Amino acid sequence: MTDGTLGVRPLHHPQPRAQFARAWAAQKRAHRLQWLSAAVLMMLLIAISAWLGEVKPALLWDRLPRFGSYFGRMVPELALATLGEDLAYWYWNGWQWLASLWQTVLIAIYATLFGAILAYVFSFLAARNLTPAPWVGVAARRTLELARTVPELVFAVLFVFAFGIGPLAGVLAIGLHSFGALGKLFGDVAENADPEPLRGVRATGASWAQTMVYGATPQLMPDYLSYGLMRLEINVRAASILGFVGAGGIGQELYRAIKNFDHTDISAIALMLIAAVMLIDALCGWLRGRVIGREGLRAL
Amino acid sequence: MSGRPLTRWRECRPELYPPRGLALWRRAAAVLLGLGLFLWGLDALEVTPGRLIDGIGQLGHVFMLMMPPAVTEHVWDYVRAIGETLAMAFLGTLVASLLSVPLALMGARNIMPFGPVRLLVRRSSDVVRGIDSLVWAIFFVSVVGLGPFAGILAIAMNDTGVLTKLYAEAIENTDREQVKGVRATGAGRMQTIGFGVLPQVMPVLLGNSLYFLESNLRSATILGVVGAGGIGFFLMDRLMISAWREVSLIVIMVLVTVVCIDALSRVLRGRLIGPVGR
Amino acid sequence: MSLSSRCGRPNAAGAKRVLELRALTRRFGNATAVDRVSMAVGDGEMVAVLGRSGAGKSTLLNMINRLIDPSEGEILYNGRDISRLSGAELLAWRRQSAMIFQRFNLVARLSVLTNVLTGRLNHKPRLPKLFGVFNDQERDIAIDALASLGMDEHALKRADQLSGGQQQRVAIARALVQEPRLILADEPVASLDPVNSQAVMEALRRINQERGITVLCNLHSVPLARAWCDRAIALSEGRVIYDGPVGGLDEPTLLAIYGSAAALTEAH
Repeated sequence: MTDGTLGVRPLHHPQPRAQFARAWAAQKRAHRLQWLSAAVLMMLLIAISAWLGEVKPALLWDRLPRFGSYFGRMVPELALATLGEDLAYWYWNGWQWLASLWQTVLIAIYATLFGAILAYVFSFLAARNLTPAPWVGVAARRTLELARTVPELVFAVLFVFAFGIGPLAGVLAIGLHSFGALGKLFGDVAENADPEPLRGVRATGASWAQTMVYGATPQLMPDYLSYGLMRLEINVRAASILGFVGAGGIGQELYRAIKNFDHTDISAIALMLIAAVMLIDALCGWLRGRVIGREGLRAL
Repeated sequence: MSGRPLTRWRECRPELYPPRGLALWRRAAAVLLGLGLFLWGLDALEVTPGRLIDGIGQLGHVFMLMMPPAVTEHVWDYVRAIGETLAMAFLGTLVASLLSVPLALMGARNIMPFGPVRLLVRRSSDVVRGIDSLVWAIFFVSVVGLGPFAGILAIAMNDTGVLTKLYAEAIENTDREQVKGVRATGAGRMQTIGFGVLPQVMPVLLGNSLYFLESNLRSATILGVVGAGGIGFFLMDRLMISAWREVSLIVIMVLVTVVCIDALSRVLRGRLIGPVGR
Repeated sequence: MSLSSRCGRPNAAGAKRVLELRALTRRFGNATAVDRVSMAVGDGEMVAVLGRSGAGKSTLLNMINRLIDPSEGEILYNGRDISRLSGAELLAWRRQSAMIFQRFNLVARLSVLTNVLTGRLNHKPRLPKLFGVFNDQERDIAIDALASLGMDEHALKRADQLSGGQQQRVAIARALVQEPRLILADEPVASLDPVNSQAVMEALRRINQERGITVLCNLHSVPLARAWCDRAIALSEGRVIYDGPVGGLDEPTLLAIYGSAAALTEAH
């Protein structure tokens, strides 16, 4: 600035202390008001929900013993002396159940794979900072929303109707839903991407697709893989109930056991399911640790 | 470029080039193996191109039948059912969020020194998590009867399992330095947790809870299938009798609801991260 | 480095004018970042672009490469209107006008070699490159470029494992393999210490002289401009206020460019 001074303002803004104190008190009042109104709103919401949801805590308390009896009926008769036979009796259909469980896991794996690959592509279309055109971004985001809002079970029933009973309907239903869910998560990650490498690649004359592959993917891949593995964990659970509607997996067996009140069957299957889920969770957790730890692709 | 002949670096720096010879064969074999496994799995899942093509045709047919959505006199039933669903999701998430905080503290390595207690908490949350909320719903229906109350309990149960693990991990990942700083002022154990640990994890916890609200709304929509209240009952019923036009109406109503809640959740999360994440 | 090569060849006044900017303007809302800039650059010149931060230097360079589009005006290269290009021709132009950035803009997780190879993305064949497949000849080109900058031994390291000066040299190698006609360097040494600045500027000068590539260099330091470039163009508030040989940068001119004695001292 050529006004003769060095262009430096004095550091102190002489403001009366009283003025400051008043401003601060006013801000605190406004803050407290905000919190108060939020609390009141919360109370209101809880009250309405309790009424709509027919919440009866007393009923729950009364029926607590039913918990016990329900679980009691599910526990099989196991005596130490006859342990081998008792276990064989409990798991009379063990091999069949194991096969169904394996199918459930397969459904989850393939569904996650297909969903994740499609979501990867769509994430670049949907991310506001990466999309090739604004209307593409909007269309992509709406598509993802549709895919993840419709419950998997609904897709499953539709697909059983169209593709017939069996695991194919399950893979497609879970895959479609995963595509929507992962697409959104991937897109959120992509929107926080560092723009500098992207500009660096773009400036070489790379096309949009090339820029996505070289500029965006390397920085996003660890997060994508992590979310993908998390989704696998969720999908195993989802696959376990799709059998309810005939879309394959152990759900069918579980449903039958519940319908026929075969309580020991329910516990047998549930135990196997929980064990499988814990195993997959541990595996995915370990893999995710490796991915975040190793942090990135090896040299191409 | 400059017109002079290019140096062939392959001989002196082979590691900079794609593999040749034996290494190439090994890679090709690995790729083929992977492909084989992939196709074998598809076969195990009874996936054939024929079925896919037939099915897509059928889907197209069904979509035709779904248009336009039929606004029948049942609309008000659906609206009430969606209200129930919202209530289920909200209360379920709330209860689970509140329950998970003390449980997560008990399951976190840096808070709970007693191994067995931690183990119990983490393993039970694993078990609870492993069972889908739909199965819990069946269970709770047999305990408290049909209706949305069973749904709330089912969602709360499943979510407590998930959130306990998530929160425990978040707590374990808190910055030790900040906690030590609070400790250094002479704070007791509870105070350390309250001022050192919780402020760090609060944004994560709240953000996660809101995200779970969105997710729970989606799961709550199907719990009605097994009688645990909500729109799921109508949805499944109409599907089973192939009343396609009503199905599309219900799906659209659910979509609108979910989109609204998602937007709300996003706004809230933005405002929370703002003031809290200083 | 001998003094004669540092001072470079005499002002290429008779050199063919290849890059022409005509009344180039760029506005952001109500603010005008670049205001009717007109200038011409000769083939093989090394031109310094000087000015305070916010004077429009970066915007100017980004427009020439078409990372940003101009609001008004024209950019001509060899008579061809660059400012209206689109599609494949635009991508081809970006390849020909290689950019070097202040923060290097390499892809952190990829190896040095892969980063350099990204400079070949606009060369045929294009499809295999989408899957990370580059043929041997292209690898040769990339390693040659790295070697000419003394970086070939780091070829397999991740880009973020290198120091600033090393990263910038990798960025220069990336620019080289694009086989450009023009190198646009946006504050290439602003993030580097004096030793590395020297090495990078020397590399740019060497490329300019040995390969005859025109270089446009945004610089924040006048001594650098004097040491390495033939010609200087100075911007102030988006307008050209000086266009001539570096020797002509005297006190009053510099004061006009930097506005005050304090800012001027900073630019030294």
